[in-house]
Amino acid sequence: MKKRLTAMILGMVMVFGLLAGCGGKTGDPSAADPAGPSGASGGQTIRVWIPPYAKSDAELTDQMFWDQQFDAFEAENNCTVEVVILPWDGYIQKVTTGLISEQGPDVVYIDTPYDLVESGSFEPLDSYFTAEETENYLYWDLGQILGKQYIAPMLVGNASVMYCNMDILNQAGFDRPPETWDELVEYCLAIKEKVPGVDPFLQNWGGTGKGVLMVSFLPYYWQTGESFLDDAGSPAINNAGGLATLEFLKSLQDKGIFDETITAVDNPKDRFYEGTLAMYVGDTGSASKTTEAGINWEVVPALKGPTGIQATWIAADSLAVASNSKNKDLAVKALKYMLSAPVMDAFHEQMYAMCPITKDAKFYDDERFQSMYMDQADIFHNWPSYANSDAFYDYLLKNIQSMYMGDLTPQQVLDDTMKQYEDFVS
Amino acid sequence: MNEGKRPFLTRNRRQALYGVAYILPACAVITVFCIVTIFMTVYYSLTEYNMLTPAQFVGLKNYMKIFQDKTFRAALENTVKYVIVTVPAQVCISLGLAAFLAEKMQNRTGGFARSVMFVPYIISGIAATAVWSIIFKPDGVINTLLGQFDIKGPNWLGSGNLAFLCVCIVAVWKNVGYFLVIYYAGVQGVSKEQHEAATCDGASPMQRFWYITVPSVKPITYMVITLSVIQSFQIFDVVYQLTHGGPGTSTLTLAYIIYQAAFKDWKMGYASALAVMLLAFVLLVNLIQDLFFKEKEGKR
Repeated sequence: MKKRLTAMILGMVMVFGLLAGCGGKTGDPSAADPAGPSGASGGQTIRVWIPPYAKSDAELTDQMFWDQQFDAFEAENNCTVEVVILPWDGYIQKVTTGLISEQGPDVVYIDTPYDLVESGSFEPLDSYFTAEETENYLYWDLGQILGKQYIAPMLVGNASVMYCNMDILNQAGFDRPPETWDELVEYCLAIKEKVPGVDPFLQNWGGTGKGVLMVSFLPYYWQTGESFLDDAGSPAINNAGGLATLEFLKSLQDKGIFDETITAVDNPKDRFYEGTLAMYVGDTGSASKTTEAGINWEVVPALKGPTGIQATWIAADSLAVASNSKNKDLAVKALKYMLSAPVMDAFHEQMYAMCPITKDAKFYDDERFQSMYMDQADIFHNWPSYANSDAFYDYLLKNIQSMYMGDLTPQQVLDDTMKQYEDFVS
Repeated sequence: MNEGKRPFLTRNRRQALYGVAYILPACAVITVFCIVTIFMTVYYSLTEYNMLTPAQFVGLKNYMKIFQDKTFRAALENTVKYVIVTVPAQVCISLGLAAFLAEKMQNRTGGFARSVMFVPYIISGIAATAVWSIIFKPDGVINTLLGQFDIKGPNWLGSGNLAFLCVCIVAVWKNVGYFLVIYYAGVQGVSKEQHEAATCDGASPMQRFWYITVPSVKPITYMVITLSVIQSFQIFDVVYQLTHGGPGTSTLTLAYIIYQAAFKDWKMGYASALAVMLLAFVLLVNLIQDLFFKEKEGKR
């Protein structure tokens, strides 16, 4: 009898547990969600979602940094700011589901905003900013999407630049980095011949995601002078520039600069730190680690393409306010606070050095990049904004990998990518 | 007057109620997380839905798109190839090892070997595959070892066919332990007298394995093949961690493109249609397999 009773109770506990787990939120919202509209202090609560930037071994974590920064804001506005640091892995998926669930952020960091803007997930910011305020932002226009200011650029920089190991280049007889496509090939062939045991140049074609394209395809494409989007705002790379880019990239393999393992290389940076790679294109954020590795390095911001145009990719990640935020005014206030010179200066100094985003902020990145960011701003291009961009980049990457495996020609890469994307969005 | 009236909760009814109570939690879980979701998937496969805006009914548009999709064709081809390679490999290796362990290693060493072989199955697929990716890298463990003998190692993950082979190797390595344990239990039940009689008649170990062990564990083989086929059609973690479907489309699988359509491209309707297709393929293969086994059973 005792056994039966115990079994019955256990069974009931399981059923109720299951039903409780599946049940939606009812009753007092603050009871189910501690970060509900009202904070513990009686003031309002807003949530900020942002990815991590601190180094893995840093004493000051992202959470600590932002909590410290928001102390003054919370006191001034009698509110609570709940900062959630979301890992980069699956970041956009988490943000999207958060925005749908209405349990998500009020202020959110975003790098590819187009699809979320198009779906109405973000609040237009135009009416919240005065002309005087917007004039202080150096990259304000990068936040214009579909005719409105939906995002405010926050972290601008980390451009894709070509790092050169000058010791290796010197051994091959060169005293400066290459400046054009032809020079790059010339340098590579000379290094291959004169410096054994060293790879002259590598690209990360074994990597995944659009990050591969921002260093290994887009800079070269823009160097041909072609625009990525057509007048209707759709990607249009099936042109002379696209073909010239892919033919150039393929020629690196045909000339023996890349071997057959190029489709398995996912991180040339490590080889550069080891001193067994002469040149690669990487982010400016890697400068300090390169110096720590003891490499005698120099950079060329971007090569000149066949028509002499210099161009490369730059990050312009932004902050946005969720359109379903219950505290939009406070959220915009928090967004402005995060972008203010004192907070961004502290971020660049203590967490991750990038370009200043306002006229009153300072430059903390490696001094070798200062003139590049300040004087050559016209060579930088951010991600083009269009619908389903991730799908396009994925098709392009896979087709370029197929080109390196000998399955597709450069022209077929362009044809197939455009066809697949058009079918996808139709 | 009431003497003839039977109480409502008779012994049989009480027993039945207990039975219902015991299976209720499992039934609730299966209903909510399997049956309802299958119907929801079928419904969403007929819509265009990106989770941000309400779903719009589009009829069979997603299914028509599937058949024009080059990526789907590549993924289907790879998945079928993967099933053809891994299912026989898993069945043969696990049965062979189980028979060997049951016959030759009925001791502590055998028990230890079984445990060791089962470990890959219980460890996280992502973690295990991360280790394998270090092994297969161009300058990874295998190629470094080959380099010691002046042999240039192959381009494991950078060449289409080899990358596909790597996915198969990791998946077989991970699953063999599980099927080994199932087979081991079956092989233990094979009559020892039959084996002894065959030995007296001069049968070699191979002949005994082929003519006694294999037929005796046929019902288990049926189950192992069924489980293995279902698992193989769902291959995702190894591909996600090891190759991300590349290089090119050489290791794309159906489960991987479902994930990509749903959680990278936010095409929930299209992803649901792909999932329904996958379900249909698995059911079809199981039906064929069922007919094949029943037919063979009938001939005996």
